[in-house]
Amino acid sequence: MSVEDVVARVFNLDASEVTDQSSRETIAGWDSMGHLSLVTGLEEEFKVSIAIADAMEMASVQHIKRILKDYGVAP
Amino acid sequence: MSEDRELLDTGIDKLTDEIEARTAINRLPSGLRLRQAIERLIFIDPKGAVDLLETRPDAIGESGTDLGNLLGRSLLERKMFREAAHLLHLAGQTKLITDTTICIRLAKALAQEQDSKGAAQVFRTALAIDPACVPAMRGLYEIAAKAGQSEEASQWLARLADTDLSYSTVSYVYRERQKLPGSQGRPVRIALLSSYVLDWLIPYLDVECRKAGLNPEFYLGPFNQYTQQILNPRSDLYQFKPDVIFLALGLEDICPEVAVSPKEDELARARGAIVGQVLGLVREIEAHSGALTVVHSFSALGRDGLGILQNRLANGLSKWLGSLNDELAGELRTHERSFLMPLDSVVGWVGRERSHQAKMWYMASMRMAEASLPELARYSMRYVKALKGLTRKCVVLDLDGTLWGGVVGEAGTEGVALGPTAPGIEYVDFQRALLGLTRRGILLAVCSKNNPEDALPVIRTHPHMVLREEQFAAMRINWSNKADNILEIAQELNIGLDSLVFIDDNPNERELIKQVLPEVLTVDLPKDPSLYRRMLEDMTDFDLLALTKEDETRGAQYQANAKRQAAKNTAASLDEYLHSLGIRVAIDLASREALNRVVQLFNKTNQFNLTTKRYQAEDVIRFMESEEYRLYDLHVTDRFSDHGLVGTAVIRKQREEWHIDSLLMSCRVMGLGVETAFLERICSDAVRERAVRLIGEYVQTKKNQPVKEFYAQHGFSLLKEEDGRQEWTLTVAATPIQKPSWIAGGTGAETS
Repeated sequence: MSVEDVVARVFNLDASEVTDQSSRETIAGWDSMGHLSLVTGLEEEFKVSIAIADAMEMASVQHIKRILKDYGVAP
Repeated sequence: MSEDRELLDTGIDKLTDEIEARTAINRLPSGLRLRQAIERLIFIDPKGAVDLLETRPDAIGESGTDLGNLLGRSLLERKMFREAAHLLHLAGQTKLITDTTICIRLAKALAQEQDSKGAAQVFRTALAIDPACVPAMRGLYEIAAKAGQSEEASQWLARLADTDLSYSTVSYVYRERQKLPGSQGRPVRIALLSSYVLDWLIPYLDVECRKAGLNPEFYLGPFNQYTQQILNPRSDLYQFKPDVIFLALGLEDICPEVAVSPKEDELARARGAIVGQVLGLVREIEAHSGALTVVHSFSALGRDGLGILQNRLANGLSKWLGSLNDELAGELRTHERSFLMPLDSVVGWVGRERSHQAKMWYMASMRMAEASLPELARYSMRYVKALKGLTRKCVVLDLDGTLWGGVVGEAGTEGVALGPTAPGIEYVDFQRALLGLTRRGILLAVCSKNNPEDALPVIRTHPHMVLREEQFAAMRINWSNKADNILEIAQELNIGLDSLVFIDDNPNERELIKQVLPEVLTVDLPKDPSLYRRMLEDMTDFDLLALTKEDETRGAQYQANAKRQAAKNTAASLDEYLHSLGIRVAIDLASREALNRVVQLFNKTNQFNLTTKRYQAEDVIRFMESEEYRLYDLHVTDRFSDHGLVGTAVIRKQREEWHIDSLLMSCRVMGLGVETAFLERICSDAVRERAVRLIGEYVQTKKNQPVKEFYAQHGFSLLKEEDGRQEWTLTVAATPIQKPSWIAGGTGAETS
């Protein structure tokens, strides 16, 4: 599963609607609780535990991909 | 033949003319080659592939779905929406498509082209493929909402919430519901106060309230300001006028020292301080509000720092927590309006690991993780439903496959699965849980399609049957329609259909009752009987705020009813029957001991209720204490049983006029004439206190038809009538009401 797929699943979108530019501003359900659900979803999917400082940086799909690279995940 | 081979060998992609390729493929006999050729065609000429599939359904073969899904995706990538829609239409007949994302993409594309009818159809196709397809429900909701069909829109929201309890869906449902006009249901006002962030619970509570037919409003106290909110009588909390206040305090927030293995005396002091603090808050709430207060019990987040010594040393934390919650529960027991919610057992169902996530706690002060919210909301509803009188009174049970395994008509009494080993033990366990319900005053009834001579011996003589005849308030074992039987049961027990729960392992019977008797709560019983007990225990429809004497003996009451019925059948006339009952009433000004039962009557009496005012404990206490009011209670006994406290009336005295603000009676004692004895007593008290007139009010509801003529029958005359509300008057001295000759007791001389 790609980052886009996880974002789509958490926010109930179609993966084709999610791009690198998708962010807290463009996705309706991505509020603070939505963000926590997303972080949990990413952790479960990619089998990592994301540090809080990193989790708070994840404001867009692009950011998420960049940060996940540091965890050895190449989605 | 050689031509076919050539076609495959060279590959159809070399055929530049699409028509030519199509014609060539169409000549192929059905089988693997035809399939392979179509697969290739999908990439060069998807429209042609659709046409081919239509004329050559034999091409689909056994693994047709791969072909269909492949073709669907290919069409969407090329934005050939019309062809994709056509393919889906074909797929509807041939089950070509299994991938709902194809439907969702197509539907969204159609919606974007303003073809909402086409989009809705495709969303429905997705739902036919996967009934739990969340994006399809969202799509259908959005189409309905946009078209202003708010009823349909809210049905889609309800279905979404039934399907998926992720925060994403539940918060979506909550947000969208606010946009729909005309919220339905009885209002309820719920306040949340917390020392940690509990905002996320609100969408879940909203969903649960709507499922229960309530229309909730919420107040969320500002973060960690519960003390100010509770102490200030003019705070937003009290302005909100809550019906229920949930007070959720984190142990580590109000007593941080417990995190660092405190000493025994420190713990003892902390316990005293916490109990004192919570009681202080509860008393303040009670002073400023009539709300029901639900305090979350205290729980620890981590493990005990003392490890395996925790139960050996005096300062073990788990032991201390137990004593803290025990002490709090003991103190609150005397507060009628305040409860301690067993938080540990609530999150225990979810699992401690899933219900608290350290990262969410550190990042967002979110003590209860997402996974715990559905269960926390459901458990909270037990208090809300009990407060709003939504407690169900009777469980109607099927027999074969529900109370025991197998069909008794085929297997015989000894052959059914029921006993101490599996299969059979799961039914015994389920029956035990049902028996537990009767201890709370919930009635059981049987409704089974069976020959009585087959089924009754199991109930009467099977050694492992837990529920015997005396546990069932009513039984219908016959071959008639279950809807008719359930109507009869409701009539026999004199309770409304909305007081019934129906449990049957047969989905057809369930569907029938859902459609014919929607007021009955028909449970979707799991297919696996080992889940029966859990299903029953998870239901939030059987909770009561207080257990009264009447609840505990209710089953016996209905047994006595059956005997009464038998007496009625043998009596020569109704008059003789009524005289034979030996009815005795006791009518008093209600005392404080009667409080719980009187509040219960106000909130669950629907039929014999003249004004249906839902008074709460604080109102009832006011009536008891105020000079302006008289609050009566009515006790009834007969030779078969003690009915207990079955009626109440509120009189507001206004100089020479006595207004009957409320008059209500349990339907158990309807038809005995005791209401006339009740009114006679009120009337004679009025005469003695020199009142001139009784003013009676009747407010029509869906349920209280039986008392529509109550005042007319007792000689009152109609003063005015508007919007289903009538006012009646009776001059007390001129028209004395006669107590029926078969009723003893109840005269005004006994009390002042």
